[in-house]
Amino acid sequence: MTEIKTLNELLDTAITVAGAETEAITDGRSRLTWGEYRDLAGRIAAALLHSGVKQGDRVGVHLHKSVHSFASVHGVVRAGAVMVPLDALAPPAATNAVLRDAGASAVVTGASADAISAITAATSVTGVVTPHVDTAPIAGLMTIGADSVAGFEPAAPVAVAPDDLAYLMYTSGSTGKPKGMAHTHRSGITYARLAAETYDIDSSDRLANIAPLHFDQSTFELYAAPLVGASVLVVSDGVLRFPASLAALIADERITVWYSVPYVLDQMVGRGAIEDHDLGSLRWILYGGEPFPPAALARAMRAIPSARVSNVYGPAEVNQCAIYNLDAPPTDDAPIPIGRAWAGSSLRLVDETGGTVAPGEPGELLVSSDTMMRGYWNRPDLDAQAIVEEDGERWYRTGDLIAVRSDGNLVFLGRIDNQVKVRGHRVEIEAVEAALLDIDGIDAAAVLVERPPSGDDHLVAVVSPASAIANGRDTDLIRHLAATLPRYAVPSRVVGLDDLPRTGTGKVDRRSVGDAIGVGDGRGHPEVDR
Amino acid sequence: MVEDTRRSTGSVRWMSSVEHRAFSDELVAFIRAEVAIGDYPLEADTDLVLTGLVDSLGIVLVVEWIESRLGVMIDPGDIVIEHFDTVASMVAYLRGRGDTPLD
Repeated sequence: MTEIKTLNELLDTAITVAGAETEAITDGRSRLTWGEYRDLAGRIAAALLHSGVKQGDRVGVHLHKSVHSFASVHGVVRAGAVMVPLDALAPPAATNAVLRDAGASAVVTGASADAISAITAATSVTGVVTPHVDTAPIAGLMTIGADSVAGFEPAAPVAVAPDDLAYLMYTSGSTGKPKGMAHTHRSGITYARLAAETYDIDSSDRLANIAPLHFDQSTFELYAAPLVGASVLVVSDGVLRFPASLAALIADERITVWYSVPYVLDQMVGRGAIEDHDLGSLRWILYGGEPFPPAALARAMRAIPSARVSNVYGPAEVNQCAIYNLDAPPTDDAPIPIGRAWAGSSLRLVDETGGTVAPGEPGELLVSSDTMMRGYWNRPDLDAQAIVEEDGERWYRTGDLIAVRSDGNLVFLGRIDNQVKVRGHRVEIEAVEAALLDIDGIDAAAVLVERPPSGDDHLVAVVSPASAIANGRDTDLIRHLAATLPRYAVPSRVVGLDDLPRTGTGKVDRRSVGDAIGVGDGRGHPEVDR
Repeated sequence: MVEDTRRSTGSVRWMSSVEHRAFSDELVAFIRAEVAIGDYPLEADTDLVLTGLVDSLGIVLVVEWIESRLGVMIDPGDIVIEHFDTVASMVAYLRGRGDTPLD
């Protein structure tokens, strides 16, 4: 495997490995060779440099999933800038908050002039590149539309060092303030190399990109694929909503490697009419982000017998750090282990005081690896909480409560804080509750996770007084939240209760609230059999 | 006024076209009230997915509503983006089936 050290050389590497004329990427509409992919990225890089972007500047990528979104990521990195993936479906206020926090100087987007004005308002953004649409002039911004982008000579990679930052991956913090994980070229390329080796990926493989850019699973298709010259199918947001369309596309494109959260695979298997499609090209199914209900995983593995399955565990702060592979469907209801330390990762379990737990005792998982982030962007306070230094090693505190099973495999027991997962996305319960309390007429709020057997986990908000949601106002309330929170953090329903049960210290007692309305408190799966 | 005109012309073809438009309006109203996320303006030709108005759960709600409203079953293999990206696509698909009251 080629020994490049920075992500900005990846598309050139792919051409060396696979050839400039070989198919590199498709989104079902456009299809590019490696030569075309590199040139498109090079033109976007040239446009960004022309707009004044300097090495180390942060540049947002705000595009619906497409060959253009992938080329834009590589364009930003090629320009020596730090890529900030943005959720093109998020409310403008949320995107604006990320651009402000990142101190971004430019954005690559396909949005309308109004939307661009909204997301860049009161930020340091001065340049806007729209690689596949033309855009009207916007006051205070240099806009470079598709026609102009096409006229640029593709830029060569701007030299960067392995320890320079390559991208910031944002999640919402517990106060609702976005927090960005700052990854270097070294962590990105190390992850790409180890992932390609682990799953034995080469230029004959075709990888399906399911995850959006702002979700860390996409780093697999973005960076591991070009390293070995494997081609990528970018599955559009539209197709992803339709399991039968998705199954048809995976079959038609002869995809060999799939990576998603459990929900997307389960939907395709359950509702995708997959008996009508030949999915036999799939040889690996990777899943992560949250536990896969064993019965649902068994159904998926029986439906797609050609594929081995890999449970990929690792918070976005460290990319991947544990692995558990399955060659046969699970036969009982025991939770699927997260397995053992993944290539080059060191893992240990600690108690509340930070001391290593006794053998057999559960503890918080700490990770040290070369794929770990440098730290949170401009948040030394968060670094101090999340990163501990010991014996010259930096350890990331995952916040996950983990136990070692008798066979040596690790199992996930739950969170030690109030973070929950909704379809693989992290949600800090307190951030959603804070948004509810900001609404006039709501005195108290609790947010819970409802876990139906279908695996379609979602949030339920409980508010007091009950009159706050009378006369159809629950719908208004959900709309209000949808304007400020990422969509996965918006509760699916609201329940009114006049008195929320409280703990002895006067805090809302989520567990008792859950009992009152018949919903769990979302703290994971404590019933694990060890 | 529409009702009066329908009675006076008595055209079956014209009547069904009124019905599918009324159905389209009803479906838009249902999505607006029960399914839509965010406040993007919704019309019959609005792309429901790229505007972020409808997620996968929302599609399920829409399919269930159509099935009970029209008394038809929609085969999972028919729930594809070409048939469901807009309300207009849904109406065209449902009329094209030939077994719905929208014929």
